[in-house]
Amino acid sequence: MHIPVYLEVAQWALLFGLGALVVVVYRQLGGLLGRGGHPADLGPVVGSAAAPFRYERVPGGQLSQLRPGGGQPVLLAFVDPTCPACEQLVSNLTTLQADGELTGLRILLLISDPPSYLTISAAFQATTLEIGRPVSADEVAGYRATGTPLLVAVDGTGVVRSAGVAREAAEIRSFASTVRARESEAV
Amino acid sequence: MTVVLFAAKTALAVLLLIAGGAKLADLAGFGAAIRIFVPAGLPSGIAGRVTAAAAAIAATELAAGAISLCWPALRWMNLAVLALACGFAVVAILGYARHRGRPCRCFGALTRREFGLRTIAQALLILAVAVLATRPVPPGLLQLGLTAHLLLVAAAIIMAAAAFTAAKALLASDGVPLAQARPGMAG
Repeated sequence: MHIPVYLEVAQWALLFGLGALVVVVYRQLGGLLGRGGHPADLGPVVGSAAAPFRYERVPGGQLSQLRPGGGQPVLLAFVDPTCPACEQLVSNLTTLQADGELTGLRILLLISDPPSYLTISAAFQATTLEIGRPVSADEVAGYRATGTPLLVAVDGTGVVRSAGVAREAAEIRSFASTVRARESEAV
Repeated sequence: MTVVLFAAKTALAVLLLIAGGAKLADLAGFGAAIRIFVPAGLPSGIAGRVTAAAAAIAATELAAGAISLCWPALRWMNLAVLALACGFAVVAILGYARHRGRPCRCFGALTRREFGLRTIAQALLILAVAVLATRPVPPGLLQLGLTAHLLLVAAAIIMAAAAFTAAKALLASDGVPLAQARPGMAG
């Protein structure tokens, strides 16, 4: 039986395409699951001291500094307007704060995208939460924010109590409860 | 030489099927990548249709890949694919110039590559292959029977579905989207 040359070439192209897909999925999914479902190098070590850092307020550009350990628990959200999951996290954080569920917590959204990128995201434009952009990547290196969305809960003594990928309201409540529990113990 | 031309044509078709299928699985993510190219001053009605634009681009890639693979004798399709490749190159260069380090999502969730020199090199390579695929071949070699057409259509559907499923699997691998690589904060 004669098989047209085009079909022979096409079947090899399709085979290589499927092979490439398998390799891509193996590399990404296999690497992720091999590390317990979350990137191992994402987020600060729970129990470590949260480092102070300087940031520019967005919009405005005024220089501010965050010094964890001043008595008030802090929720740090490393987010970016170009990340759809971050939009969900920001939207949920905004709603939870408006509903009074995060009372007593300082919430700071930390972006790495340029401030002009805020205009592309409705969630970032609508939020009433404080937004900042770290002055340098070195100052927040200890937070190991290599990916977004990353939520970090720091208690009033400046110790990281939980850190990881989060976006749902239930996850945010869970993060908040880890620092609130510490406050209750202290009282 | 004919085999090389067939290889160029089928490789491009498979690439478009994979890219289209993967983008379709993550329209929100691809939409976020499109949004950074939307000028800030546009009316919200236009800016809000980013997801529709993302779906249209993914559908165009799928259609171009499928038609190019399954009906190779249609010479105008080579020019359509070439036009798409030109578009990819323009986007890669614009992305490098204006949004370096931001995720390009050229293959949806299958890659975490950002706009950079590698993206430009990849786009230029695709463009070169697309130019090669426009070279004429003896028409008789591209005449396929009905069975061959049907087989190729089935293969195109399977390829697109595999890319779609792989991208979905990566997105839902641990209940939350894969953490998006966070660009550097310099600049």
